[in-house]
Amino acid sequence: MKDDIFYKFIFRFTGDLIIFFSVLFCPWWITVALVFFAVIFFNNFIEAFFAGLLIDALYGTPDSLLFGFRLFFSFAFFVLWLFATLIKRKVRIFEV
Amino acid sequence: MDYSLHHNRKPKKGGKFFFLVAFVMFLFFTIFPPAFNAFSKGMIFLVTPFWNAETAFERSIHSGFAMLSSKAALEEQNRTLKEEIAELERDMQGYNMVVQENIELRKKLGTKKDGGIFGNVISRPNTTPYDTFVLDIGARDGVYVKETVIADDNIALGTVETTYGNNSKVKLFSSPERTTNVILEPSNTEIQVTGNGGGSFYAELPEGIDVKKGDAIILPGEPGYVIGYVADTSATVSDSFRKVYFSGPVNIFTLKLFQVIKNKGAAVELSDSKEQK
Repeated sequence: MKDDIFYKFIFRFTGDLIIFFSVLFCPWWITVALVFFAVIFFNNFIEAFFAGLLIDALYGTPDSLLFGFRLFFSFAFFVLWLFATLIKRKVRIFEV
Repeated sequence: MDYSLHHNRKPKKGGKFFFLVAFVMFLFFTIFPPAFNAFSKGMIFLVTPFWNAETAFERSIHSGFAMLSSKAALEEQNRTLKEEIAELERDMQGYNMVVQENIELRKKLGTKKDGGIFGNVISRPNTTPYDTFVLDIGARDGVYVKETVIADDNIALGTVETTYGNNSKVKLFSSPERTTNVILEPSNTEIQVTGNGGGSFYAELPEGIDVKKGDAIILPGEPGYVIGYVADTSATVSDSFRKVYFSGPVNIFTLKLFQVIKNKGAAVELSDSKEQK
């Protein structure tokens, strides 16, 4: 049981690191794809919101015109996480 | 084992807490933009070492590959480079004459080009979704908001939108839906172009305006920095208007060095706002 929790933690932590470095070095659409898969496979993947926040903080400008406000990716990933959480309550899915 | 198809799981512990944390942060940053600016500044400060490490790693990889090149390949490269140098020296003679003539003409016209500050790109579009660049120069180097950023001496790319101590964010003229007033050459017509993302622009022009593929668009004022060239004129919007597409003169995805130009517009804007963003 302890091993199980340990491996889950390592798996999740690796996922977090991959997403963090993809925000810094990979094209933005790769980050979006990674976050999309992560919210499906991990339980309560709130890190999605923080990944969005990081993108907005690093690359957004005060007058970002993309859909009118600065926290676009934070909002998008938050909604994605919310949808995934709600849908996963209704369907059977493999989850870490 | 549970093979039941019915699956109405209860939410796992922590879900509501995480939701509240994220929601409160989102509201806080939306309602108090200065807090988000401070957060942004902190994040830039924290990740800059990672970006610097990537740049150093990239350079070491390049030098490593250079060392591994075979002798024959190096000889061939040497011969080609010598030929190129000879050709460039011939071109240079003509170029020096043009530069000299240009300086004299500028003296006669009484115009003066202010010195710029050079900066390296540490993050560029494709990684940045908002068509922005992050540079390794900032307020400490004398970079101010709204200053024009150029590349290759005469190509304008965007303006500084935010400055931090050692970094600054540059928003490209081609950022989606950003509008810029430009002069269409050679007809010398003032038009407004709209950013399309990825270094491209578009404009809806009356049919009467003479425009053809390859025409340049430049920023008004002296010197007229080029921001793009006409790429396509075929799209028709209506009987009297047509949509013209422009492409940037350089590949923004591979740029490594920028120059921030001290312009009067920045000074005026700064004196109005009294503070740096």
